[in-house]
Amino acid sequence: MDFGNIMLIAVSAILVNNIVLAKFLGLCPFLGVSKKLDASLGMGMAVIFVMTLASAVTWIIYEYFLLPIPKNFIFRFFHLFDPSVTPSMFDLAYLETIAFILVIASLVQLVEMVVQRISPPLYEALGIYLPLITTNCAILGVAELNTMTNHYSFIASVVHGFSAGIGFTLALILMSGIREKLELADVPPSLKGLPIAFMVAGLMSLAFLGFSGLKF
Amino acid sequence: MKYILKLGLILMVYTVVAGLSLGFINNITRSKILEQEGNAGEKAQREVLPEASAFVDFTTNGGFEYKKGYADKDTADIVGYVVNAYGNGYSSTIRTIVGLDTTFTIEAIEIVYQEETPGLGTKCVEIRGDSPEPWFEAQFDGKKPDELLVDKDGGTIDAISGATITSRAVTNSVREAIEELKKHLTKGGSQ
Amino acid sequence: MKLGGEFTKGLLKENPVLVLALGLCPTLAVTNTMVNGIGMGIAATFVLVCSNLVISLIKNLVPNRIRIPVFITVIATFVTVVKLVMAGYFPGLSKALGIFIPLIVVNCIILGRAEGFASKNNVLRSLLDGLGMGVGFMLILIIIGAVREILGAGTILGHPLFGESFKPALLMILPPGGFFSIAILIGLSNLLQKRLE
Repeated sequence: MDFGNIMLIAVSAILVNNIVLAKFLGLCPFLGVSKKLDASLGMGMAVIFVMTLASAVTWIIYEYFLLPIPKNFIFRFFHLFDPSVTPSMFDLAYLETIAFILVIASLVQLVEMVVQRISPPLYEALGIYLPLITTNCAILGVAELNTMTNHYSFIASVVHGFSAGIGFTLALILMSGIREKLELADVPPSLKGLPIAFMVAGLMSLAFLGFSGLKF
Repeated sequence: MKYILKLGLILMVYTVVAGLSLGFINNITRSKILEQEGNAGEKAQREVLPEASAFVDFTTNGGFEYKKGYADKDTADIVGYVVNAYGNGYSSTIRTIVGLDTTFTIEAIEIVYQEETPGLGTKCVEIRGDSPEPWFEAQFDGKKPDELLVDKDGGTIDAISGATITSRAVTNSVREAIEELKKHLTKGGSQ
Repeated sequence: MKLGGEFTKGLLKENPVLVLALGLCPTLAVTNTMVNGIGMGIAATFVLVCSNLVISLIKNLVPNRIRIPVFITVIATFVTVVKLVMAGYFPGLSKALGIFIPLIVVNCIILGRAEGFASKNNVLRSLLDGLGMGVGFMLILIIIGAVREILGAGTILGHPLFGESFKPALLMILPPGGFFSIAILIGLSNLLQKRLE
C-alpha cells in the first residue's frame, strides 16, 4: 500500500464520499447535535477518536478471528492439538455483525472509563457524547466498509476510519454554522426543525457532489 | 466483584446462544450462498467465452491469474482465455471478466462488479433497446488491445457521457489485463 | 390502549421516521429505487417483530445493568439471519442494499422499540407494536423510493413510465435528492397532522 493510495482513501473519505452527505451514515447525531457549534465540535472529536480506534480493533478481529485464513488465531490454537484441522473449518465471517457491534459497544465503554480516569478535562468535553456513539451507525458502517466491502489493509483501515471521522466532523461543523443562522430565519411553520435541516443537508450534499471531479 | 462476574456470565450465555443459533442458520444458507456466488462467476465466464466448455485456472509467477478455455474437457484444444480486469472507478473497484480468443482479440466482456454513481457510472451496465448485452460492453467485442482507449484519449470506445472516469477505468483495466496475459504467454512461449 | 391501537400508531401518529425521526440513514441511503425500499422495509420489519417478541419474552430474565448489550445481541442475531437468508436467496437485493443490511443493528427504531416498548409490555402488544412500526417504516421507504425512482430514473419497479424523450432528473437518485424528498415528506406530514388536530 503506497502513500498515494493512502492519500486517495483519505481525501475520498473526507470530501468525495463524505460519510454523512454521500453515504448517509450517522444522520441521527448529524441532525441531533448540530444545533450548537460547541456541541458539534465535541461530538466530532469523540467520533474521530472512537472511529479510528474501532477501525483498528474490528480489522484485527476480522482478520485474526473470523476469516478462514492460516493466520486465524482460533485455527492456530486448534492446530497445536490437532494438525489435521484446516483454516476453512473456522469460517466465522458470518458472525461479523454481532462481533463488531459488541466490540464497538465495549470499546466505547472502555474509552469512557479510561478517559475519565486519565484526563478529567477531556472527559468533561467528550463525556456526554461517548454513550451516544454506540448507536452511531457511522462507526459500524466504517468497520463494515473496511472489512467486508473494501478489504482494506490495516493501515488503510485506520486511515479510512480517521478520515471518515474528519469528514463527519467537517459536515457537522458546517451544518451547525448554518443552523445557528437558521434560527433567525423566517421558515414556514410546517418546515421548521427537521425538514429545513434536511433541505440544508441536501444543499450541502449537492455542493459536495462538486468534489466528484476530484481525481489524482 | 462477584456481581460483575455474574453479569458477565449471563451476558456470555446470551451471546453463546446467539452464536450457536447463527451457526445453525449458517449451515442451512451456506451452500446456497456459495452456489449463488459460483453460479454468477460460471455464468459470466461462459458468456464471455461461449465456445469453451471447460475452464482451467492458471497463475503466473507474478501472481497474475487467468483461465484457459478448452472446447471440451478431454482435448487440449485451447479456444481462448478468460482474465479478470480490476479498474479503479469513481466510487468502486470495477471488476470485469474478459473473454479472449487465441489471437488476443476480445470475444466479449462482462462487468461483474461495480458500485458507481447511480445514473452516471452505472450506465456501464445499462441495456438499451432489445439488445441482450449492455451497449457499453458490446463496444469491446472483436477489439484488439491496442484499440482500447476511450474516444477522449483517441481510441475507439465511446465513453459514457458524464462518466469518463468509469469508462476509462473499464477500458484501461481491460487493456492492461490483456497486455499482461500476452506478455506472459508470448514470453513463456507456451500457447 | 386498545390492541389495534398498538399496531396503527406506528403508521402515522407515531411514525418512526416522520414523527420520531428514527432510522433516517437507511431511509435515505437505499431508497434510490422502490425495490430497494421494499426489501429494506421487509428486512427491518422482520428484525423488529422478532426482536420485540424475544425481548418481551426474556425481559424478566435480564439484569437491568446488562440489558442494552443483551438487546443488541438479540437484534444482531436476527440481523445476521436476514443477511444470510438474503445473500442465499435474493443475491441481487443483497448486493443493492450492501452494508445497510448489517447496519439494521444500529437502526435506532429497533433498539428504541426494544428498550422503550418491548422491555415493558407483554408479548402480544410488543408483537403488534413491532409490526406497526415496521410497516410504518416500510411505507415511508416505499413512498420515498417511488418518488425518487419516478423522478430520477423515469421508471417504476424497473419498468419505464415515460417515452424515450423523457429526461429524468438525475439529481433525485443522487444523495441530495434523498435529502430533499424526506424534507418535503416530513413537511407535508407536519401539515397533515396540524390539519387533523
